[in-house]
Amino acid sequence: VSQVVDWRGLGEVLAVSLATGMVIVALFSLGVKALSLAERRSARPAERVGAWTGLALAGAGIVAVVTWGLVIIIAK
Amino acid sequence: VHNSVLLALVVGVAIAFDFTNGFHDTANAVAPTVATRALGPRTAVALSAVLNVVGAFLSLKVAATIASGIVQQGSIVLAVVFAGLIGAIFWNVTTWYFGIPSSSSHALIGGVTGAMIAHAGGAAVLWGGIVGKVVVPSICAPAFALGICALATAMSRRLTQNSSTRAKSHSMRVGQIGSSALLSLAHGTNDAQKTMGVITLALIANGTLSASAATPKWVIVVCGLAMGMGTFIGGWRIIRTMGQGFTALSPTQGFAAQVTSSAVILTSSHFGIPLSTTGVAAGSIVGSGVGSAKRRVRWTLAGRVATAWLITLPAAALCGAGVYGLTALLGRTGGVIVGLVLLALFCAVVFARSRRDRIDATNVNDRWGEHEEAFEKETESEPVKVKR
Repeated sequence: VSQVVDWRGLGEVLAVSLATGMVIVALFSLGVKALSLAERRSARPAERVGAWTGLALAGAGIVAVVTWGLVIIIAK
Repeated sequence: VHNSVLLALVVGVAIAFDFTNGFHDTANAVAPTVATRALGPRTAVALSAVLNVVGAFLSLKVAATIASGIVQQGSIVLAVVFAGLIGAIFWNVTTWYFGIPSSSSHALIGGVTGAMIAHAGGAAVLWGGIVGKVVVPSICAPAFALGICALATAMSRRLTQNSSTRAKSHSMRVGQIGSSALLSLAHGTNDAQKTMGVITLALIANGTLSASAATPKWVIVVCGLAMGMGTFIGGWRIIRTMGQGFTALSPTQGFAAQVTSSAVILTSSHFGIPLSTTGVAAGSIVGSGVGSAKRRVRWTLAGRVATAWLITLPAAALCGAGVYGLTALLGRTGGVIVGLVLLALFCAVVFARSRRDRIDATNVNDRWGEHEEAFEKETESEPVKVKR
């Protein structure tokens, strides 16, 4: 079985998809947290700027990951 | 049957398989989106259908040949392809009726393998390829997705625990639409190409195309449209199992499940490792239940689905071998006709039975199991009204 199964390839898939999945979910969740903070009426201006910056960074990260996905789909 | 008539029948059956592949696999991309009401059921399948068609045109590198590395390519004849496709359709329709998400690719591989054994014996099958490309990946795909999604769901829950319900609920739903679109695109590119490969192989085997010829444009158009139409019909029975059966999905869980599925499927494409999209999607949804606060998963249902995955290959192989046996027993003409009639009768009976307990866009999100304990969703799953 060890000769016919590409264990190394499977390991790479596990490692990269674990990293990618966790990073996207983390970025998006931080974006949600930032959005929630920015929307709070009691938030101070500095908090609000920080929250919107966080949201923008999270958005940029997600756009980058989605672009990576599209590149893989198209390059197949 | 003259070769050209048999070729036409093979192409027709391949298109029918592509159609069943479309409606069978709709759930992989849209089930969480529908279950969490990120999109209305009809809108979700329409979007997925369009993106499946677009996906079919995105890549023209149709390298996929039928059961490559699984059977001796030189021994494949049109009757084997025909029997394999019929076996795969039998299995796809059966699992659709029972609402079981199973791999269409594995059904096709099983059908062709069974027909090949009946045609040329077990020596024509590359058993190492079966283990390396089907058996092991079919175990790894759901296991990887389950583990990653459980971790991602738990992490997302912790990161957003103090966020407002509105921000959480709406953002996660928007994120789900994006990841669902990416999955549909990937599905159109991967799965429509498999059928394109089948038809191209049949054309080459018949001498209509030279071995080095590119896939004709009409094949790409027909396969893309068949896949899109199948997706648009919506395999509601399987969408219901995936969206409501395994666990009660909150928007956070749905988002984590779809991101995990996209990440695993795209990464496996990148490394050229064949992982079943269905196995990944189902594993992600179960994983989202494991990672939720209540850790509620219907393990009996998950076990039933896993059992179906284990018997997909032998069951489709038996069907494929049976249909090929008919052509050997009754002659090619009689065998092909009887095979088609049996398939049509079977599909008609299954469709008629499915009308008794009809599942469609209007009841796909109804509560799972009247007598079962209801699974409560997590706090952010406030209902959002959407038009059906």
